[in-house]
Amino acid sequence: MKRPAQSRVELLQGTLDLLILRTLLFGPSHGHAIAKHIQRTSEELLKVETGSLYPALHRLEAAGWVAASWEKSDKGKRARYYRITALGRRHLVNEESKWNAFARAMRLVLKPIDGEAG
Amino acid sequence: MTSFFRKLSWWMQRRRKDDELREELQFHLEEEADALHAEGLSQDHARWAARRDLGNPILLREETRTLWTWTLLEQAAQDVRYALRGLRRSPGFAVVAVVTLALGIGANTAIFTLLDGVMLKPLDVTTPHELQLLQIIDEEGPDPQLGIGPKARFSHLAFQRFVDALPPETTLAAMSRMTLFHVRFGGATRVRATQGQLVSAEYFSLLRVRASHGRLLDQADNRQIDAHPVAVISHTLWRELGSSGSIIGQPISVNGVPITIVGVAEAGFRGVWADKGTELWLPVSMQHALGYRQNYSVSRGQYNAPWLTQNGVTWLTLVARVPDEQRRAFAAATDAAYRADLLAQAEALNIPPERLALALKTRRLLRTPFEHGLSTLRQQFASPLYLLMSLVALVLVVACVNVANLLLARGMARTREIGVRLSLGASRLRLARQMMVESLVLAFAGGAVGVAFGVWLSHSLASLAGVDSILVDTRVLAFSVAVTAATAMLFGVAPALRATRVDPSRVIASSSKGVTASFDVARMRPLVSAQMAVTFVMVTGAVLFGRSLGNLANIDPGFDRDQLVALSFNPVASGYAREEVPALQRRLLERVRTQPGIAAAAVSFCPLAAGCRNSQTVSLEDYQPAPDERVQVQVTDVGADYFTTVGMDLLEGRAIDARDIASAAAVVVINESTARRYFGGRSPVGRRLARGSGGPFRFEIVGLVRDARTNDLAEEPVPTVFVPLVAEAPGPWVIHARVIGDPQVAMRDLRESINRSEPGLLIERSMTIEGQLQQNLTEQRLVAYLATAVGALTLLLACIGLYGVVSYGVARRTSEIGVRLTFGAKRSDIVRQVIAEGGLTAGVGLAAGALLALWATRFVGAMLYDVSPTEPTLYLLVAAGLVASVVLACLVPAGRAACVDPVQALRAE
Repeated sequence: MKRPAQSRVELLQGTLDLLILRTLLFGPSHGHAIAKHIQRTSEELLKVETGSLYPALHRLEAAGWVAASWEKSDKGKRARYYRITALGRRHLVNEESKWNAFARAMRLVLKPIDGEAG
Repeated sequence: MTSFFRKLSWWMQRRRKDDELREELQFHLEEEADALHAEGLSQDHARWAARRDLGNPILLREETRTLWTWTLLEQAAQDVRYALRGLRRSPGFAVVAVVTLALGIGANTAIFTLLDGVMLKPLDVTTPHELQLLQIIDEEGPDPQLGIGPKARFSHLAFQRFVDALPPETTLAAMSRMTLFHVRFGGATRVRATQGQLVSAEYFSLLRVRASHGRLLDQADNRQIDAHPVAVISHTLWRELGSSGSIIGQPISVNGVPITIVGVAEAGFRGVWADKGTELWLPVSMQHALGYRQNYSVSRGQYNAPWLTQNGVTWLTLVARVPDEQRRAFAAATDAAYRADLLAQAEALNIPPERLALALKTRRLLRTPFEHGLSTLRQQFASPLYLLMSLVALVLVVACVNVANLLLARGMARTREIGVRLSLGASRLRLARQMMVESLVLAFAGGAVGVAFGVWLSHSLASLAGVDSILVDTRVLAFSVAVTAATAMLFGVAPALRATRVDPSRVIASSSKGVTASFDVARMRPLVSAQMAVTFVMVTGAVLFGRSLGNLANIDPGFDRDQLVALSFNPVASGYAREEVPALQRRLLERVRTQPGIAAAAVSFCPLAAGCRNSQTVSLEDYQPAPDERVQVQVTDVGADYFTTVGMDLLEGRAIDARDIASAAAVVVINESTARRYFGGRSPVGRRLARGSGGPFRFEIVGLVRDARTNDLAEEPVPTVFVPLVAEAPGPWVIHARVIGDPQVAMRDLRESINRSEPGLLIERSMTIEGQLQQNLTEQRLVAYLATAVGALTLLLACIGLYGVVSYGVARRTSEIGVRLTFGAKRSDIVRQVIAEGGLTAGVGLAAGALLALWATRFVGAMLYDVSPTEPTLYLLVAAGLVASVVLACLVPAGRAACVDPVQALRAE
């Protein structure tokens, strides 16, 4: 748990949904695994707060973008597995393109001062 | 939509969902702990780290749960349950608060019901706000009688000129006053007294009323004088007559004239009178045939000739329907028509040019909203009702202050609980909201009891005021709910904010119960003082109105009020031929006089104490009026034996006797007021006067009688001239009878006997003069009773408030009192001190109240009879009464203070 604080990036508002949906593209998963996956794939730069993960999962479920069911985990315990729905995929595609446009725009604006980026 | 249903299904199974979430989080904790353990942490450490990482699980669950519930609703339900539990735990507080609020809200509901029924409720017709009443404003301003006085009366010719000038899409209708028609249905002998109106063809279309059967009145019914014997009846009357469809075309007799029913108005339509329903409508063209002669002014006209074609007789109320966008055009058109009308009249009546110029300058047309219709009660009750409404509003404020005080005290007692909850993470807003919910629960409990109380109260008030059509409807309920909610705001917000302004660390740290006790009691005292001040004003008002009523009720009216009854008749309207009337009058008088239990009887034009005004101009031989003075006196036509029958003392000369009546002698009797004003100190007997202005002085004054309040008990005697009621007078007239024994019984016997001997004659009214005098005082009685009730209520509330504050102070200082008792303080000293403290709080309020009362009672001076609002004894009396109540209110807590057991008090510390 003692990781250097400066190496971590604060999650931007609204990006957690995107990260969760994206993670679920690889297959159904439970809350803990989703958090760990995001952390790992972001090279520990992103840390998902448990306090916002579960409300987010239930919010996505309420919106119909993910569906949940109780299944046995690999260790044989009962866990709540989330899986992305067709509606969720469409939403993800939408959000991804939005995010890419946003990221591109940020890069373009920030480039001249950065100088070195290319 | 689907997400709504998902949410709904989740909400239904929210308990299961909650368990699942718990399990899910538990699983997460275990996974995290396992992972950390795998990284090398000890099992315990890993578990703790996982927990820390998860944060506050309750908060997390709460936040997630919001997704499958309607949180606000849930929390509100929770708050209500919590509030109910809390109130059940302190029933004393709950009962006092609810009763206090119920009294306040109930009083407001009751007075508002009355106010709404009499003053505020719009007519039950389509878009009543488009209706306007036309009246004339002159140098004296508009009509004080709110549209039913002489300035709101027009001649029929003027009405037609207005109609010709109307802009498109506006309608103007003319109508007479409501009057009592004598109607016979289906050839019956018995006459039914029926409330009706003469109306122009436009009346029904103006009010957008349709016929439920047959047709309504139209233009064809107003062509020729006395040539349209048709009538429309109300749906209520139609039902009373048996709801028969064949009623259309049936002949009836109205005031002795054969009339055909042509239609029934639609159900629910009651006409334009707010306090009584119209049952019968006839065309204005029938005025002369029906002998309608009410509420009119004649100047240079013929009272006996048909009014329809006379400019000089004004008798019609004009009401217009003006769509909003037409207002301007309507105003311009009617103004122009009115001016043209003045010019036309001036020409027709040969009015001198200087008077015309003055009229054109000072008189103009006034258009007033007519959405409330007409009412006879409105003028009588307007000022008392508004006065009472403000009084009961003040009572409610006092009640709120009381409950706020109770809540403040309760909030202080709960300081610790609130501190703990704050420190456990409850938000201040949530706590304040919860306390507001408690206030709302209290307010609505009080409101529910209050509305029940108010309904009961308004019924008894309505019967006291002689109003029948009072009902508690949705408007009243909406008012009560609004008042209740406002009440909760008024008494709830301050205590809620105050109670939650707590520093949790201080509360938890301090072991003692009272943190800021002394400070807060000091803060409550001004409120109690203010209550006392208001109480002083209210009680003073109650005493003033009570005394005024007492003075009025015991006034000597100038005649012998006991054992006197009056029965009124209108024989011609009942169908008697004019030439039959003298014989009928003789028969009736004979029958009444020979009836057992009757001492004397006499006929006259006006009944006593019934507000029957008949003002006429006279000229006196020996009196030279000032240039612009008109000698106006009340002229009362009386028969033989009148003065002895009613008990009016003859001071000089002789009374009018049977010979005068028989020979239609030119003699009059005057009263003291006339003698005083026009004859100075000299004896009037033998002098002469003339009826009308100038001319030969035909009438000889033969007698002088004592002044009497013949019109209204609350009205000073006016100069009156009594003239012989000629035997040929067609009526209406009244028979007064002096009875022996119970007047009610005598009156019933008289009615029965007359109904037997003259079955076709309608007794329009029959009542005891005492009852009539009591009715004169309805308004004063209403005000006095209610002022007393309100005064008592305020006093009660103020005493409860004082009691609350004093006992709270005693409870807070139990330990201090214990200490002082231990050190040898006498119990009587403790009692004296508690009373002195309460007395000081109250005394400040009472002193302020006395000043306030001195100022405020000036505004009701006009409503008082023979009572001075500045009389010192009055204030001493009120002050003494209030001081006694204050001592009583303090005595109980003082006694409790004296009974403090020092050992117990100190041990509790």
